[in-house]
Amino acid sequence: MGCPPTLLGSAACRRSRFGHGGRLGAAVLGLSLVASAGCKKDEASDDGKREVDLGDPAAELVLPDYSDVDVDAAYTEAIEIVLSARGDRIWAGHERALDRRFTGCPDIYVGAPEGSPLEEDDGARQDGMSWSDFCTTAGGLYFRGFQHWVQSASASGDATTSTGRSASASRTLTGNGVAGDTSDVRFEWTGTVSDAVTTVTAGDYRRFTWSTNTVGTATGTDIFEPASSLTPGGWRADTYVAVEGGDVERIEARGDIYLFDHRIADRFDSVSMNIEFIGELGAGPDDCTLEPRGWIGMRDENAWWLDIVFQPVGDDDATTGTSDDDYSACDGCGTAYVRGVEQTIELGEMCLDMTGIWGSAQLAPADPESYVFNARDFLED
Amino acid sequence: MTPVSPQHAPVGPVVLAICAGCAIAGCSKDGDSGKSGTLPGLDSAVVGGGGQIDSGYAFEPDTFDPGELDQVPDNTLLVQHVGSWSLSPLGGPYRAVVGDLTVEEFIDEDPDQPWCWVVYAMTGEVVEDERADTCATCDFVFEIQYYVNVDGGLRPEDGAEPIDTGGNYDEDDVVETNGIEDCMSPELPRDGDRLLMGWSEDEETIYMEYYGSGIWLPWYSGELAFDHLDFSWVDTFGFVVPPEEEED
Repeated sequence: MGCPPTLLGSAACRRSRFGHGGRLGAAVLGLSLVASAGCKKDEASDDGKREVDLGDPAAELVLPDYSDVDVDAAYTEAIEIVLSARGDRIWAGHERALDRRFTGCPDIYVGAPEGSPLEEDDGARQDGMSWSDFCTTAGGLYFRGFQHWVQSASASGDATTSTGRSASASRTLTGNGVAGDTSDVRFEWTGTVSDAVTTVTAGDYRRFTWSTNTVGTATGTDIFEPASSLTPGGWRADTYVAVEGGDVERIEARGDIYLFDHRIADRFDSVSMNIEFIGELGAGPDDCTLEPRGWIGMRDENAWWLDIVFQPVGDDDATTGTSDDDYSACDGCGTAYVRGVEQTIELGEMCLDMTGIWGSAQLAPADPESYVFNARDFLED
Repeated sequence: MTPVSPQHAPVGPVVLAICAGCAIAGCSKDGDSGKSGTLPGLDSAVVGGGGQIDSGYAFEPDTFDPGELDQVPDNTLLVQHVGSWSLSPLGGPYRAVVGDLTVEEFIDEDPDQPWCWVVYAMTGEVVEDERADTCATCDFVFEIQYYVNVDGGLRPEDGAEPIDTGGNYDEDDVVETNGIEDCMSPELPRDGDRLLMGWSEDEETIYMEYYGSGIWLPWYSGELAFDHLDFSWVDTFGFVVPPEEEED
């Protein structure tokens, strides 16, 4: 995931991989093409027998007008949306759906359920629990498909001591199922989401890390509370997010998400990113806190991408030693690309203020206790 | 079924009806009851009874009552945990416990199809520090250590009598069972595990503290009488019998 999809082969990617050399190479290549075109035309006119039909002039690339978009807010929201596509939110929706279950609807299994792909997996077949059914209660509540989950949680220590208390938990939910009633789809999850959290507390000291790997489609009012959710219509996502907080501030997010209903700034329906933020807390002397590393792209409803490229990220960082490069400087500014074309005038260099991300509620870790699932209690309800 | 836009829907049927009418007229011969220049009335499928344009829906609304349908598991697994604690000193307040726990799982609740069989012995000492305070409803809390005494193997059938004083059974009176590795019961303790467990007399429930989390979960229902506490958990789940077991 080195470059935004619309920028493969563009200046952004050449820059990431080759630094100054990329732009120089592009310029040389452009001159070479002009020179070779000139030679070909001369040849054609010299012999006087054949004309080279160059066709109609290339259509001018239409670029959308984004002047009415609050870009700072839009990109901050895009990041928050990706952060919100996390395992504990999907699990919470799953628990709400199961709170409405009746005995036998759905049927609860130990291990993997019948007819699921997990049945072929020896490990999954015997681990965890699941529900599987195709049932409807007299009141119209229905469960279709299956969901299988494996979870663990543990803790040790005392938060009032110097060594503190640490807690960790993890969970995986795999399924292809829907639950709802006569009025609405309440919970739908197709895919696999794994998440984990670790917290350390010692007196006033607090440190947490959480991560989630989400691959699937989620809808339903049990996951997306209509009044408060960032994405009330749900989404289809393939994302990885890792967050560190407490005495440090770090965010890593990469992947793609498509929003079914919600539109960022009333026009963007998809987000793609590979981004790393470092906050002021716990930042090292070489860390850049003014801008993230990587890129973020948003796609509007015409399938046109607006990308902003910041400092190179990870393996793309071939610019070591060129800190004065306009592209790689830690100056809080990225470069905008619309439909893959670098913007030099209208949008141009974009100096976004995304510091609001550090105050986002989406960064908070899930409570490790929420990972505890008790089949005994559950079945007695 | 994708709804058909009303303004587009009639085009196909109308053309079809006209073409069909032409074809039929072309094949008419003497004696044909059809009169030249007179087309039959439009098919009711093209124009509805009320003169409305056909919406394109050819089927009645779905009246199937899905409430009649309930998929059920092909197989179930009866999970049965039964045990007891002997508390001391007699009359309390209790400081120690010894006990046992038998975990059995049966496919389709059939005693002839035991899936797994594990017998534990357990000992415990009372806990009176802050760990016990986290169980709000517990009258007393023990740290229980589990010892696995029986881990699967040949399980005597109910009512079978040993054939010798060594506790051996006739091979016809025993059935092969899986051990703890194959048991499906969630959170089954392993040999040597220590767990905090507390008794709530008001709720007649043994609680278990979930792996140091500070969360106390209702684990077994029980009955305490004369320093003896009997407890159990019995439930039935859906279960996918592994292919190798089905072949047996």
